[in-house]
This record gives sequence, C-alpha cells and structure tokens, in this order.
Amino acid sequence: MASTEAAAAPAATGRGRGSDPTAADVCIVGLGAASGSAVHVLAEAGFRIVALEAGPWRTSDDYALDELRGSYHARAAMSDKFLAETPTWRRNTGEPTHPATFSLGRMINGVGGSYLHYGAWLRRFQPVEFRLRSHVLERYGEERLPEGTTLADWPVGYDDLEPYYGLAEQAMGVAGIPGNDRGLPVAGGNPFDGYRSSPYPLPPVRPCVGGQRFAAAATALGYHPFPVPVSLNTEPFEGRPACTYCGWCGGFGCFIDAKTTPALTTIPRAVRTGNLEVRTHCRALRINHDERGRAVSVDYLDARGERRTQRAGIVILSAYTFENVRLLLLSTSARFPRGLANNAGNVGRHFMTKQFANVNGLYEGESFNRYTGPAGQAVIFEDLNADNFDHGGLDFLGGATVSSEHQLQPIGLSRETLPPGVPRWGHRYKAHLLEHWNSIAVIRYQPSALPYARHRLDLDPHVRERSGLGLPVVRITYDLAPNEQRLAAFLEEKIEALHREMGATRIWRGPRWTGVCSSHDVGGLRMGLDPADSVVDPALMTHEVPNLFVLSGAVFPTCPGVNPSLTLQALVWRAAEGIVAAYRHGHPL
Amino acid sequence: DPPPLRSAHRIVLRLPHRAPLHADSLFGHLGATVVPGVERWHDGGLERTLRLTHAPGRVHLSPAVGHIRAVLTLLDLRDLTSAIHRCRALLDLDADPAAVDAHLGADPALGELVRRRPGVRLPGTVDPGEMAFRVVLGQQISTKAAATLTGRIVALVGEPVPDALDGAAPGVPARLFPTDDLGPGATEAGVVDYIDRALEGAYAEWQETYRLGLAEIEAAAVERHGVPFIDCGPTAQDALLAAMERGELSFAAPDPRAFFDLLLAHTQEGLFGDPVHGGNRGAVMWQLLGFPGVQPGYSAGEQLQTSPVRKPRRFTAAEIGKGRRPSPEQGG
Repeated sequence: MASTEAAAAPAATGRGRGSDPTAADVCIVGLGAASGSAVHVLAEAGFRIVALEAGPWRTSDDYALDELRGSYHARAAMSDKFLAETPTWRRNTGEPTHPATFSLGRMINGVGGSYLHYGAWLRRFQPVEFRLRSHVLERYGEERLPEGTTLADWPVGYDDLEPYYGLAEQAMGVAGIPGNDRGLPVAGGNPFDGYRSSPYPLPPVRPCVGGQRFAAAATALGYHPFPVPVSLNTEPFEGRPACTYCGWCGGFGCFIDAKTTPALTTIPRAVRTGNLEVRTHCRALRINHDERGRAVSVDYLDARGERRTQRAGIVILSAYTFENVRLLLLSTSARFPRGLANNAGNVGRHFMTKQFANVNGLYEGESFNRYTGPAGQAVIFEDLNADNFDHGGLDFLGGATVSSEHQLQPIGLSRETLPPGVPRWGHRYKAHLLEHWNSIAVIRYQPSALPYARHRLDLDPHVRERSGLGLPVVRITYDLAPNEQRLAAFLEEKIEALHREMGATRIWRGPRWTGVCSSHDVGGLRMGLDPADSVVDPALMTHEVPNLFVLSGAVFPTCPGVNPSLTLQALVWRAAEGIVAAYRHGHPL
Repeated sequence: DPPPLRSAHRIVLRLPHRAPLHADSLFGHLGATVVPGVERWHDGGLERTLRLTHAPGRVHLSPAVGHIRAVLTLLDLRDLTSAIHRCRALLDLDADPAAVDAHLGADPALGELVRRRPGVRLPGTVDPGEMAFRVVLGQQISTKAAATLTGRIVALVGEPVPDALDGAAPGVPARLFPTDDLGPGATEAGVVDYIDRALEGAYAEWQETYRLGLAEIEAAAVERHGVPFIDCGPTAQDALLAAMERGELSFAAPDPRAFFDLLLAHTQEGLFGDPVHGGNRGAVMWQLLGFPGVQPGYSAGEQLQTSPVRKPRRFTAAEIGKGRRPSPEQGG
C-alpha cells in the first residue's frame, strides 16, 4: 500500500490527545535514520507529530572535509550527546568496566542521525537470514547451535519486507546492479539476492583500480564480486547533483548533498505536510504512562535546558540502540519497577555487535590511490556470507561480507594495521608509512554475530553521563564468542588466499577485535511473537505498553554480516503503515 | 644530585582591549623586527621570552576576534600579573583608540590615513632596558640589520632560558615521529602547537590528564637519568617512551599505556590533520607523503590510474565545503 493513499484520511487526528490542545498524535524520540524513514508515512496520513531530536538540523554547509571537524572518528565533533554518554563495556560480569571502544566511529546527533555520515552502503538481507534458526535446524541439526546462543527466527519474513525494501531503495536513490529482475538473474549483480520486484533507481558507482584488482582475483577464485549498492548519486537525483568522488563521505557528511539520507528525502517530505514539528536540541529524559499502563507523555529538556512534557497518543522510541534501552530502563514506575515495558525482564537482552576486521596486503611499488574516491566504491561478494557455503564440515555458523576497502584520509592512513615487526612510532614507523602507505590493499570482512544469553545492555551502577544530569550510562557486557572466533579464523585464511591471488608481496592480519561498538549495534529490544522472550511484536509495538513503538535496530533478532540500514528502513516503513492502518480502523489506543 | 624538577605552567588568556585595534600594523611591525634568540614569529603571532621577577617565562601573542590571545608559559605563577602587564604594554592595549583616532583624525594631513586604518597602536616594550638597547642599535641602520645586530648581542651575553620552560611535551611528539634522513617530523609539523590548541578547545577534558601525565614523564626521566626528559637524549627518550608504551613505568595517574596511546593519537592528528587546526604546518606531512590534500573530486580516468594520482593544487578544508567549492580550473 502506498502511504500517500492515507493522506486524505485524518482519522487519527485527535486520538489519545484528550482535551490537551498541545498534545500530539505521535511523539517521536530521536529523528534519525529509523524514524526518519517512517515519519513521512505518518505525516501524510494526517497524524500530528512532534519529533524530539537531541542534535541540530545540519545542512551541507555544516560539513567539513576535515577529519578533525567533520568525521565520526578522531574528535567525532558531530556527536556531542553521544560522547557525553559513551557506554561502558566489560567482557563478562566478572571484570570491571572500561569506556566502550569503536570499530569505525561514533554515532551522530542530529536530524537524520548517523545516516549523515554513514558509508552509504544500502543492502538487503538474504531471505535465509529471517529464518536462520529454522534453517540451521533443518540443514545441520540442533547440535550445531553454539552453546548459549539465543538464535531466533524473525517474526517477519523476506517476502513481508520485499515491497518495503523496494520503496526504501527508490526513496534513497540506491545505485547498484540488482542481482535479479523479478527473479531472473542479472549479470554483474549479487547472485545471492532474494527476489526483487523493482530495480535500483541509479546505475552503480564507477570502478576503481583497487576494486578491479580485487574483483579479478575474487572471480578467479570462484566468487561473485559486485559493486556495493549505495545511496550515492551516480547521476543527478531529485534535484541534487551527482557525486564528484571526492572521497570524503564514509564517516563524513556530504558537502554537496550527493549522498542521500532521510534528512534530504523522507523527513522534508513529512515536514511539507505541515503535520511534523521538529524540535531540535531537545533530549528525552523519560516516558510516562497513565493508570491503564499506556504511554501518555515524554519528559524532555528543551533547547534552553528547561524541563518540559510532551503529551501524545502514541510514543515512538527511535534513538540509537543504546539510548532506546536506557530510556526504557530509566522510565521506572510502580507499575514497571524494572523499567517501562520491562516486566518480563527482556529489555537489554540479546545484544549483538560485529567486528570490522581486516587482512592487509602489501603490493610493493604499486599504487592503489584509495584516496581518490568514497568508501561507497567498494567491491564486495557474498559467497562467504550466510549459508551460501556448506557449513557441514565446519566448526562454526555464520559468514561475512568480504570487501575491498576504498577511501583513505591522512589521519586514517597513519592508523592502519601495521605489519608484524613494524613499531607504532619512531623512525621505522615513519619509514613504513612513507614508503608503503599507497601500496597497501585492505580487504575487510563484516561478519555475522549470533545472539547469546550472556550478551546484554543494562545501566552502569557506577558511571554517570557527563551532561550533569546524573543519569547512568549504558553498560555493555559483550565478548567475541568462540563461534565468532572460529568464523574469523576461517575468513582470515580465505582472505589471505585472495591477497595471494592479487599478487601481494606481504600479507598480515589485523586484530580480530576492533571495538565493542560497530555502528551496527543491534538487539537489546528483540522483536518476537512471545512476550516472555521479546520486547516488541512484529508491528514494533511493545508487548507490555500497547501504544509504545520502537523503531530501531535494537529490535533485530539477529545480526547478519550485512549492513543493517536498508532492512531497518524497510521494517520501520512497514511498521508505520501498520500504525496508520490500525488507527484508521479504530484500533483502540 | 639531580637538579630540582620544575615543571612549567601553561596559561592561555584572552587579553581584552577597546575596539578598534589595527592588528595588521601592530603585528606587522612586531613580526618585522624579531630579534633572534629572544623572539620568533610563528602561528600568526609573536613568541618571545620574558625576564620576570621570580623566574623566566615565555609568551605567544596573536590577534583574535575582539581580543589578543596570549599563551603564557611560566615557571612561577607569582609572575602572572606582571607578565600580563608587560604584554599589555608591548601591544599598547590600554590605549583609548576612539580618543586617539578622534584627535589625530582632525589633523588635515593625518585624517584620511587614520580613517583608513583605525585603531593603530604604538608598540611598547616588555622591558624598558631592552627597549633602550634596541633604540640605540637601530638608530643608524635598517630594521633588519638592527635585528641581526641585537641577535648577536643576545647570543654573546644572553642568559639561556631554562629547558623546563619546554616541559616534556615538545620532546615526546618529536620522538614519536622524528625529524630524520627521511624528512621533517613532528617538530616541523608543529604538533605541540596542535596539541596546545586542541587542549584549549575540543580536548579541554584532557588538560588534567596531560598535566599529570607529562609530570610523570618528567619524574621518570629524572629518576632514571637525573635530568628532565628534554635533556635525556634520543636513545634514553625512546627507551622511556617504550617503557611507557608497555606499561612499565609506574604512574600514579594516568595509566601509562593509556596516556601513551593518547599522546600517539594526538601526535598523529597534529601530523596529518588539516593545517587549519595548527598542526601539519604548511601541509608539510601531506607533501612528505604525496597525499594530494582535500580535493573536490576525481575523474573516472584518475580512479583507474595505476600510478600515484597527483593534483596541480593541494586544498585544505578551509577552501572546500561550507558552501565553497573551487572552480574546475582550480580543482583540475
């Protein structure tokens, strides 16, 4: 169903607002990647929405091609709130916590969220990922499930999401080669793609010298490489210019708006209806409920630091994974003594993150010129992902996307993984850097991660955020499990073979552990059918609070070796249509 | 006996003044008359030594919006007030520019000049005795010759500034990325200036960590070698840093390994970051690498090139972004 159909039906207006004229139909906490990809559906259906966003509304003029001012690494200058409440981390309950570490960079605060600086990779999950537990049991048997895993099927399938994948790809102007056209294979695309009802709106990114070299070696070894689908304007798109391939967008905002984000598309579309009021520099503190146990309002600090309350008929929680979990745990009451929607104790469980590990190859005397284009120019393959290869004789479950790295900035290159024997500083470090910095090919793997009972998020009893509000930060309990260690070892060997095929003169592995936070931090508010084992239902409504929705990667039951953004967009787009349909048909609040 | 450890205090101040202030003429004069050994021009300002009541000091003065930025390095904090007074006298900051300009502007010969350059100051001195010397030396010869001559006198009879004024900071980045036969290092890139600036702004939260950590490095240097870090020599310095990196130095705080990682990370930023932040001075490290800096884009042909892709001009972040894009002729 197209969301615009609902525009003429203001049936929702007024619901749940009672007699308070300042109340909204919907209050959204966090106008980022998740809610920003659904808010237009609600606004066009006539819902009156107030969105509380902790950060500012930036434009392309605010982005600097500067690692210190503009990137998500180094100073992470666009992440004020996130930096003030950096989670703590411990490997297990027996050790003290440390500040969390980051594989790629920090999350951003602002309208559009971390889409503003993401690497623009927008990919579908393979159909099998939505029923991985059933698949493993059918093909390999229950004894193959690693100890402690809480692997579960998703309560929605690929077919449920397929139309929404298409809608999101169109809205985001995804550039790529589809793997199939309504089931018929397309040459050069990903042969492991599920059924596609629509093509990509834009052609793929240009080739680059490193990507070509990688693609040739991968093909020779029997893999099926293809240019990663990205939301980069390979041609002018919807009034915005084509990408110039400056090479400063993975981890940066685009200074000419050639990288599509919800802040340029679906959020302005929602604002144009007149039904969305965006309140920037406003941070939510807690969600309140009434005597019937329904969400009724959100307490927040406004841009002047004054405490306010926004009443609403529906509350949508859509900050980042950590903050969503934290807000629920902080919203305690007599009815919900362990936190809102947490009487079953599931908030914070099944947390997953992934490692962005790499294997590097030195190609003496050659030049890869990775600085000549964006991270979105990667070439990838999925032959070693999901269950695309037989795990029968192997000692692990899962897989990874394998990719050639593109884009290189000078501070970043000074921190790349060093070959064994090269120190981190001094004359020999300098000699290595000067001679080889442009002759190194980085092949990265983005592995899947199974959920485990022992991996969770809760509130740190000792550490408070730096804002002065005295609120505890999130505590992450997470370690790389034996299954994921064995998967990593398998991938490292395969990638070493790729480097040999590419003609590397020296090959070395980076660390398997690259940081506890990955920007793909999912789970914690699991989606499922059983309220005893999950927090939200397939409509993304919490089991325990019937007008409280969670639009977030926190609802993912599993963490495939694929970027989660597009699946999140499809899921929340579908959920928003569900909200519109439910409330139009008089679903009781 | 090892010499007593004295660590320097670094204080950043805003010196207020009445508007207007014609900074170009004031700092232009100061920059044109620097006396080697006492003064030097860098980072858009004048740095010079100060002979103060309790101990020597050093100051870096540069114009900023609405104030003068002063970075004072003092061995004895009791000298703070007099140091500020001397800087104000040097820059004539207590002048009333409105009264001066009104009076001089009424003169038929000067009027137009005053209106074109409002707020011109009359540079003073930090030390009347020094001024007397410089005036006498400069009477009959050019400004440049006078500076050279004064510099010779400084070299001949000047009293060296204690190394403690430099603290441990200049020495650490210089060892992490040394100046050697391969080319310039952290010193030429101005890494210490980068870190200084960062600690005033984005990294203000690390100030105390640096204060404690650098003092621990000094203490370790004195304990092991009897002299401050800066005087240890490269081999001993490298051994100290390696021990710190391995966590073998016992620091009360911060954790030595964590502080080493912080120093290394900030040194890399000061080496390779955009020059707009005070490090990578003159893009010296981008030149050394052959990194083309910030570019507005690359062509399809360049992306398939198997030799290094060079560009005719190297941009910085100040030139691209924020609504600014170089024209194709500029960008190539």
